[in-house]
Amino acid sequence: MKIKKFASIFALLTGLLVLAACQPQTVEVIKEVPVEVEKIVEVEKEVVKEVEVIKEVEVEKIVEVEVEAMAEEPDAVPYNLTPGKPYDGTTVNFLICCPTAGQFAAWQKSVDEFTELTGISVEFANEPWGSFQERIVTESIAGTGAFDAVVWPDSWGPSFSNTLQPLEPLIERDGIDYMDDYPPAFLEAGTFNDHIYGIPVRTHAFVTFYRQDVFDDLGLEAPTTWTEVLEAGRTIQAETDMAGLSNYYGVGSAQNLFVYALMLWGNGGDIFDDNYRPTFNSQAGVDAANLYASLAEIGPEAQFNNNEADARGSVQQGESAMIVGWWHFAGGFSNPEVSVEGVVGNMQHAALPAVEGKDPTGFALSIPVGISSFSRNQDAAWEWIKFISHPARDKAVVMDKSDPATNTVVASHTSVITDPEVNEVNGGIHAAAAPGLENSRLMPLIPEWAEVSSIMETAINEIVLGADAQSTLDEAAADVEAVMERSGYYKDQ
Amino acid sequence: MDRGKYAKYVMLGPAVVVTLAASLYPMYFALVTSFRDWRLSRSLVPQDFVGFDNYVRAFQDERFLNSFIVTIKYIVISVSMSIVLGLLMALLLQRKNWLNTITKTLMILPFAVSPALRGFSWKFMLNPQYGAFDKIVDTVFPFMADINWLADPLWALIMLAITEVWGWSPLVALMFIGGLGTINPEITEAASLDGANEWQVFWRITLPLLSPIILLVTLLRIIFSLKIFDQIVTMTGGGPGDATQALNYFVYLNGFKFFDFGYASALGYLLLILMLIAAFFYVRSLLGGNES
Repeated sequence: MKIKKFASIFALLTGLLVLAACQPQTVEVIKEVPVEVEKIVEVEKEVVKEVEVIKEVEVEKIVEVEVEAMAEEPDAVPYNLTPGKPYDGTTVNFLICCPTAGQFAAWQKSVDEFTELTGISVEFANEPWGSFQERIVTESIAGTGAFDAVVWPDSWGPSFSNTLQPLEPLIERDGIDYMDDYPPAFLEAGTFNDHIYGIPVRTHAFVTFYRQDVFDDLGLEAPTTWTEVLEAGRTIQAETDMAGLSNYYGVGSAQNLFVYALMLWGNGGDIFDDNYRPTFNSQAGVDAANLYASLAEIGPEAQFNNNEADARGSVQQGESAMIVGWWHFAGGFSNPEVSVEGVVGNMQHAALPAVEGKDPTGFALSIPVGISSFSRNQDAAWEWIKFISHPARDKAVVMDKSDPATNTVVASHTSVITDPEVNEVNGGIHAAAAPGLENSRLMPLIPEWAEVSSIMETAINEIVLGADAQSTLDEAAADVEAVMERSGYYKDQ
Repeated sequence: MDRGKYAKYVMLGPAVVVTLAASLYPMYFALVTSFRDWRLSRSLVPQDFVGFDNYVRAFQDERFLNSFIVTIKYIVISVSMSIVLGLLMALLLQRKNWLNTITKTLMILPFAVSPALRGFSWKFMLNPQYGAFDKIVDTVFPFMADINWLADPLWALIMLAITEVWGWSPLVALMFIGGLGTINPEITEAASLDGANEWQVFWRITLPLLSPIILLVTLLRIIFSLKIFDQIVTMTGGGPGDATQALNYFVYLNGFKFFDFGYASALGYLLLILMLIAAFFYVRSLLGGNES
């Protein structure tokens, strides 16, 4: 009898639990931007006036002017921060990846300054790159508000933009006047459906890195076309025990599409047409794939399974003489803790190679920062974003070479990228990348990109390993078309 | 007495409720989701019911069919290798002496290594430029020097299986040693007296008597092979091409990379069905063994 009673209670409990779990999911999305108290708004206006003055000043003077403004106006604070510490005592949870990235380490170092200015603490949730996307997905579904601010690689953005807060009202409210101070591709990277969800903060341009000492010894010039890259690579392999070019052909995170896309665009092709029909299997796409595959001749043995980090490691270990990649590689190449003797001090950079007879094309990647819709500290998170995205902070980070852990060349603002002082301190890498940034392209910003890129990276890997380019790309294009059709892209066609 | 009985159920109750909630509810939710359209990029909550569309899509999806074939190939390679190797190790180590006792103790270590770490370690060992395994093979078998282990579709799958075999074979061997210990030595002695040589004793007596354990180990290995995931992530990323994109990894891709939870749930259930079939035979042979 007692067992029956217990069984009844047990069944009831289980049933209740299941019922509770089966309740329709309510997703609390905080869309309202809290209104500031009048006093703050008035002070804010004064700060905006102050910023208008700053606009006229040269970028390298911004920090000094901000400090002067503070001296003249006791309520004013630099970096467009809200005066009066209205969020004092708040903690902002900041979800980022890749804690070893110099720029992120520099941000972490600057938290004390930020806390002093605002009273807001910042907790970094460092997620390894490999599980970063899963973390964002699971936190987004759970909608718990576990993080307030988050960074993401641009191509992931459209997939979870429905969990991000549009930033235009905040930009307008706080008179953020440096939104025009970004290369177009960087700004576009955080914009979906005509809304700005992310401020560009960790932005990358593609450049060519090469071993100056090896090139000098062999009498080689920095390559300006892919044909020259191939020829230089052949010479290096013939004359030294190094591989010519370290490429990343492996699958897993679509990184093998970076160089392929560059060649595709440089060859006049594109991934999609205006109606999102795949076009990468056009003649331009096939030629680009064959050109890409031909570079395997001058690569290290392990390249077919290498991802970007592996390929970079090959250069850092002195095994390869060239690599085409993001400018943030420069930090590692100049760090004796991760690069061998011979590499440190000998890595030079040049503009991206062009397809023979064609104009050079740039390729950019941006990791914007945004605010979670589920955050309960959206205003405090916005303060943090204003702080790290301010041109003066951007410049301060790339100018600081005092610590190898925070040494980075990653800058986002046009004014910083073209700043002579910044270029002098960073060996002119920004000036080398700047022309490419003007016409830089991004990977398509569509929610289906993860699936599309997975299909394409598999095809490219197969072509590099010897499959026929035309038929392989045709099959991939058919698969991509099916993905797009399922998502309703061709309904009206 | 009654109070004691009641108390044990009360004590067990919370754990059982939590266990059921943590396993049955996700299964129920995934089952319901498998009949719905839920692309996270479109909506944070599940959308319309689509009947069996997700299941039908799976059987029309060449990438799913490829992952199914990859999984079958992987199971065949991985399970057969671990059974053969495990059996050989068991035959070598079945005699009781101090050296064998130490060896048997140490044998459990590879099994204790996490699959992800196993994958990373093997990726380094297989690197054609500085990998220890690659260098050893190049030295011992020079005709294999040109093989780029993880860039060749067949070798990549075999190497993926070897990482699993490396971890599992010692455990399989220990299970076989246990099985060999149950064989009455009088039977083998009688066979030897009747003129059977060692090979005949093994083939005609030892192996048939071990067959229930071989069946159990095979089924257990099939179930675990269906779950292969960590090494794919850490070693191959599903490549070269999609040559190592096993079913479990494909489910993960659709769920956590492509955000298509409806389809991923359906794929998860197809994987579950395969596991249940193996588990059914496993349990049946386990219970059958006890009855006999």
